[in-house]
Amino acid sequence: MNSPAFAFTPRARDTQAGRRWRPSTRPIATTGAYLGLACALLAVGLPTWWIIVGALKTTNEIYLVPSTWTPRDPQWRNFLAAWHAAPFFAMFVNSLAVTVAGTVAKLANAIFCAYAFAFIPIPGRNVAFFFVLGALMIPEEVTILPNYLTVAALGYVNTVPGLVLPTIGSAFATFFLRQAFLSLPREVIDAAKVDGAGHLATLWHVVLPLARPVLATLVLLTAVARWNDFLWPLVATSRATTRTLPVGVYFLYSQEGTAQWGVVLAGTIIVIVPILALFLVVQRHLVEGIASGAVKG
Amino acid sequence: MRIWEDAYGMTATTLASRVRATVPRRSVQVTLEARFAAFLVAPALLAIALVAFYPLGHAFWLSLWKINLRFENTPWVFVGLGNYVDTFTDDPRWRNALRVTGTIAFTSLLAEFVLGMVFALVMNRAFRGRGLVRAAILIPWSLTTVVSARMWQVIYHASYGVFNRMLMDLGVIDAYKPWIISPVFTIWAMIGADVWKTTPFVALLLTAGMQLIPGELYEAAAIDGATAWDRFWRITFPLLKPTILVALLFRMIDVFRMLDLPFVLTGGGPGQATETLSLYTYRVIFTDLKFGAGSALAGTTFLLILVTAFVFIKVLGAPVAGSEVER
Repeated sequence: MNSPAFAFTPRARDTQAGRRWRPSTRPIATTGAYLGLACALLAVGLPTWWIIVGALKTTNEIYLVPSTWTPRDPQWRNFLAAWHAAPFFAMFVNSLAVTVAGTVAKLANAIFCAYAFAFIPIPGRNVAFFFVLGALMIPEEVTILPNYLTVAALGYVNTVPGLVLPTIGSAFATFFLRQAFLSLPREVIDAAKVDGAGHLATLWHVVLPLARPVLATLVLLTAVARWNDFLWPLVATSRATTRTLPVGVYFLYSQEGTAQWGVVLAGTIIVIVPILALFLVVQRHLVEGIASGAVKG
Repeated sequence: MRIWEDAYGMTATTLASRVRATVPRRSVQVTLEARFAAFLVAPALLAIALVAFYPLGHAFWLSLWKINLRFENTPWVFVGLGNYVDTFTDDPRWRNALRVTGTIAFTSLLAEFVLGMVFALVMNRAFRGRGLVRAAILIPWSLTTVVSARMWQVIYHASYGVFNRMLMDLGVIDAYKPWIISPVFTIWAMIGADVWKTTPFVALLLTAGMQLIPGELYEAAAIDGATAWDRFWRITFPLLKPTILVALLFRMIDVFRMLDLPFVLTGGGPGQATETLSLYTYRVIFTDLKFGAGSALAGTTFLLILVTAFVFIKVLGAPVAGSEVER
């Protein structure tokens, strides 16, 4: 929100200022900006390009010196070979289940908790919020062994519930959502109350729609983290068919090794396509979402 | 503490006054509301308690013992804080891991924030196709680390890596170098891979922060004849400082947890040249099966994170609790 102090700046002065400054500063700045962009895109694009062409090369071509920038004879069968080298379908289902269940459980927890923190005055709220903030500082190295022992005691090793359970704590999401909820226009929420809406109705019909960019951002952050998670699935699974994709692809390498680089790289592409798709769908909300969430004030 | 009191105070007062105005039996209503709030909060707090705080306590308990499950029927020996004392006084591998993690934290974060700031400034300008560019440069961040680590392995390879070829073509080196199997280069190669992955995300956070700076400030500065350099250092940087501090803090905690990149890219090697704190801890627990010593290592990392967070929040003034909420 712009502060009201700026609201009465005369428009004419703005345009005048624009006219006065644009001619002198713009060409250089614009060229610089585009140059920077080109560098950034190149830095991102080249390595990504390399993994894609690598997946399409024969092993011989990968070992070729000097390296080739495009595959001579695209080996689409690398994908097929990768798919058969590991139980990709089972791993894909595991990854999907872990990502969806983990994201839904975590966000549901966080949404209700953040709503209460932001809008309902209850005794002990500050203590509870400190509790949440404190959990942000606990690193995975600390929790992983006890969580493993717990999951093992429950008999959940090598199961989807075992993979999901330790990830439903939602310290960051709760913190992030609370910040975003507090920055929503108070008047709208009060108006809903005056109209007789209860808390759940307010949450569903007013708060969540208003916070859509933030929710989209959180869905993306959480889903990407779950899909890409490596350490916990590595520890909590011991069989090829119960692994998630990142862990499966890690073991694909130890199976195929450097003799089948193309196959290994094709396997890695299979891992990243679904999350890239989600990313491309949701990313337009990202900047706005983060702006009203964690980084705000 | 200070920062969220106002927000809470305000909420409490508004609600209380409204309740007083509309509902005669106020205390009943408030109790019901509090009970409902407790019901909303309970699942999240319970989850956090079960998967974060209970494990913290459990890990601390384990860290007080000497446990080695590699040999069957070895009894647990209670050593109190002995594992911690060993870590601090007599563990060169821990000191090495600390140095590696520190090097990564310093170099990686410095590079990420300088580059991320440049990206953010560029992306914050209006131009054709901005949405597309924003999406494109975020791709490295969304890539699974296992995947990008594999990719860098191929790129950095000593005899057929394209990185060597590019440097040769540009005349920077005169012979192929073993980037990820040399004790000298490896950590820098790994930092390069980490910067590649996380810079876009830092840029995204900074862009989001920049959106909150009122455009009028820049127009006023332009009228006063401020140069772009001045505008950055007098307006953008100071107003972005809270964002920068929060992002730095989160990234710092991330570096303490960094495991998958060294795990896949270098295996912590050569030797222990790229063994981070969390990789070392993981190995002591899950490879050596020394649950006690490993838990003590994890506890030490937790302490380091607490100290870092404390410095960020108290000394640098990062508004983590952040509720100078704008209305």
